[in-house]
Amino acid sequence: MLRESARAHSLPVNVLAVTQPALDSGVPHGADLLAFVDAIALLDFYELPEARADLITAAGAGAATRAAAVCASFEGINRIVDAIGVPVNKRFYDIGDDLGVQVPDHLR
Amino acid sequence: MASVTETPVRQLGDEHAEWAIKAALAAIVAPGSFFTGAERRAMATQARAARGLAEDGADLPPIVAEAVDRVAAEAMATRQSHVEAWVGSGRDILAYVELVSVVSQIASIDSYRIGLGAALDALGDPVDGEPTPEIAAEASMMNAWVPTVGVALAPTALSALPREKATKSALSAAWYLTDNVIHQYDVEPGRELTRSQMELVAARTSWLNECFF
Repeated sequence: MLRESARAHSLPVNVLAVTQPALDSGVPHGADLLAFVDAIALLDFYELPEARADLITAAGAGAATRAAAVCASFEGINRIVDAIGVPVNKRFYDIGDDLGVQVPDHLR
Repeated sequence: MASVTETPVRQLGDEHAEWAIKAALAAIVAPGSFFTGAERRAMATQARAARGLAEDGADLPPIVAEAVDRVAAEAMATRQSHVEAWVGSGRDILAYVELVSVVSQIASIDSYRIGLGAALDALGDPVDGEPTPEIAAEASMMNAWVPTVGVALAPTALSALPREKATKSALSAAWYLTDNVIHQYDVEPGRELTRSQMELVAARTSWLNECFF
C-alpha cells in the first residue's frame, strides 16, 4: 500500500527502506518513523523513549501520536489476516519480489 | 514481564481514538456471540501474558489458550490445520473468529498505549450474561479459512460477526483510515501524517510481524 499510495500521489518512495531501514525511504521523517515503529512493534522499551522523543522533535507530537496509532492499527490487522488466512492479493506478489521475500504458500 | 511503565508523554493522544478504545475495552469484557464476558476478559489477559505484557495468564481450556497465545505472539505461524483442529474439538468456527477479534483488539490497544508511553488500560470487571450470537446471515466460506461476507480482505475479515467487525472498524477509523478508503490509495486523509508516511509505518509494522498484508 506504500507503493500504491506513493504512485497515486506521484511521490518518489523507496520501498526497500521497509526491509532495509538504513536506506532513505524518500518519505519525510522516514527514518524517525521507522525507528519509532520498530521500538513499538518489537516492544523495545529501552529504545522507545528516545525514538519517540526524536520523532516528536522532528515532526511534532501529533505525528508521533498518529504513528503510534497506525502501528497499533496494523498490530491488530496483521493478527487478523494471518489468523484467519486472508490470502495475499496476486497483484502484490511482485512487491515481495522487490523486497526479496516470498509470499508463503499457505497465503497464496 | 517487560516493563511498560514510563513517564507519560502528556502531549500525546487523540480524543477520537480514546472513544473507540473505550468502546472496544467495554466490548472485550461484555458477552459476545460465543463467549461470556469473563471468557473474553480471560482471553485478553492471556494475550497480554503471551506478549510478555502481563505476569500471569488466565485459566482457559487448552485449545483456547493455545489459539490466544498463537494469535497474540506469532499469528504468522497460524495454518488452516489450526482452524480445522479448533472445529474438530467441537467448537464453532465463528467462535474462533471471535477469539481472533478479542486478541487483535487488545494487542492493538496495548501497542497504542506503549507507543504513547502510557500505562496499559485496566480490564474492567466482566459483564454478566450469556453469549448472544449475532451472525451475518450472508456469511459463507470464500477465500479465507473462516466464513466472511464477500471476499476476505482486511476490512471484511471479521464480517461474519457484525459486532466484532464494528469494533475493529471503529478502531481502524480512529487510528488509520475508514474501511472504505483503505484500498483507495489516492485518498489523503488530512491527518498529522501524510498517506505515504502512514503507509510507511503500516508497511514496517507488517514487515516486523512477518505479515504480507
